[in-house]
Amino acid sequence: MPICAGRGQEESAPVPEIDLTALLAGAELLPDSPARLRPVAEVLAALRAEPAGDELAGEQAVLSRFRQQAGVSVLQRRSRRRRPVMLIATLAATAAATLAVIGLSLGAYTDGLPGPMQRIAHDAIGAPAAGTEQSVRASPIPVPSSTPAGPGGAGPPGSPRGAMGMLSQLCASYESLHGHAGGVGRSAAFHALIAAAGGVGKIPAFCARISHPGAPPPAVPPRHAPPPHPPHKKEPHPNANGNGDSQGGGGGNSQGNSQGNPLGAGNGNSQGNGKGNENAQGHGVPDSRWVRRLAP
Amino acid sequence: VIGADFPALLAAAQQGSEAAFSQLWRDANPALLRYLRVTAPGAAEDVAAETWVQVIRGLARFRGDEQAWRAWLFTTARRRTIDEGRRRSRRQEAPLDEENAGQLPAAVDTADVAIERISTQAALELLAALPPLQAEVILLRVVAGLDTETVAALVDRSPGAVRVTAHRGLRRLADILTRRGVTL
Repeated sequence: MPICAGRGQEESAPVPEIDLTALLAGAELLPDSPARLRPVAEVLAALRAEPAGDELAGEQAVLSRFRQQAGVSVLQRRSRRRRPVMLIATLAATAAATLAVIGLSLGAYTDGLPGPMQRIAHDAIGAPAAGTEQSVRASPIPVPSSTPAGPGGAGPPGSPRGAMGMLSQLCASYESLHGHAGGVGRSAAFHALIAAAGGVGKIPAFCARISHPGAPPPAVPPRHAPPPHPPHKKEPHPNANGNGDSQGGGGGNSQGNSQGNPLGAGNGNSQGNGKGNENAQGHGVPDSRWVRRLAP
Repeated sequence: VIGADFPALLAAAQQGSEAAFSQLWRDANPALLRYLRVTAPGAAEDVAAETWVQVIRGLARFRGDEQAWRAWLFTTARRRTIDEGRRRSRRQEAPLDEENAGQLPAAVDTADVAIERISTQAALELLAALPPLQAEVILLRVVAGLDTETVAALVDRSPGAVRVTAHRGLRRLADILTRRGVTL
C-alpha cells in the first residue's frame, strides 16, 4: 500500500513500507525498489561503516578509569564483607576498655580501693593518695612510672597504654593481696582485671603474661616482656579483638578511597600495572598502593 | 556487534578483565559517538566519556544479553545528553519534540553526499537535518543496532510510533537527497 512520503513535500512518492523496514534492518534493497531509496541506503551504510580512527581515540583514558573502578570494587566488596565483624569487634573493645577505666577510676577517686591499689591509682591517674606521696614513691611496690620503659608508665590516664599499665599494676596488687583473694571479687577495680583475664582463676596466668612489676624490675625485662600490644589485645575480647585491629585499618582505608574517587571523575593517568589486585589481600602495604593508584 | 562471544566477554569484564572491557568498548564506542554527534552536537565526546564512567561504575551489577547491554549503554548516553542539554540550556533540552518536523532541514552540501561512498560524517550531518526524534530513532535502529521494541522503551514511545517515526525519517531523507540531486 503506497503511503505518502514527507508530509506535503513535492517529492512525495510512494515508498513501500517493506523497503523502509529492510533499510532499517540493514538488508539489501530489492531490484525493484524505488531508485530514490538508493542514496538513502548509502547514507545508512555510511552510518554503519567501520570505526574511524578518532572514534577509538579515548581508549586509554576509559581503560584507566576501568582499572580504578575495578580496584574500588574489590575494596568495596572486601570492606562490605568485613564491616560487621570489624564494627562488633571495635564496639566490644571500646566498651570493655571504657568499663575497665571507669571502674578503676571510680574506685580510685572515691578512695575505695585497698591500700596498695589506691597508691597505684594515685600514681597512674592522680586519684587521692592512700598515704603521703612520698610513701607512694617509697612504696614496696615498685611503681613502673619510675622506669620509662615500664608498661603503662608513658600513657596518659584513660589511654590504652594507661589502662594497660593499670592492669599490670592491678596484677601487682593482686599478688600482694593473694593471701586473701576473697576481696578480689568485691573490688570494682579488680573487676577490670577479672574481665581482662577472662575470670578470677585466669588472673595469675594473665598477670604472668603482662610482666607485672611486682617482681624486682630490672631495666631489661619490662622491655623484653610482652610489649604493650598483646596484653592490650587480650583486654576486652580475646577472640574478636585481633580481627578488629587488623581489619579496621584496611576497611577504613578502602572506604575513604571509594568515596573520594568519583569526585575526581576525570581520567587519571594509569599508574602501575593491572596486576597486583590479587595481592591487595594483605593489610598494610597494598592499601598505600591503592591510594597511590587512585590519586587523581 | 560482538555476537556469540558477548556473554563470556561481559563476564570477564565484570571480573575486572581489562582486555575484555576493551573489546566491549571498541565495539560500542564508535556507535555511541555517532549517536551523540547528532543528538548532542558539540558535546559528543564529553557525554560519551560521562556515559562510560557511569557504565563502568554499574558494570558489575549489569545483567543481560548484548541487546540489553547496548540498550543500557544508549539509555545512559541519552540521559547524560539530556543532563548536558539542561546544563548548557541547549536544544537537546527537548530532543524528542517532533513538532519541529515542520522546520526545514539545514542545508547539506550536495558535493559531500554526491560521491559514491559518502563519509560517515556526511551521513551524520544528513541525519542531523532531520527532525530530532526521527534522527534519533533512525540512529538507535541503524547505528546502535537496537530493535524497534527496545528503541520504543528507550524513547518512551510505543513500538508503532517508533516504526512510523523511523519510516517517516527515511522518506524525508530520500526527499532531501532527491531534492539535492543526489542519485546513485
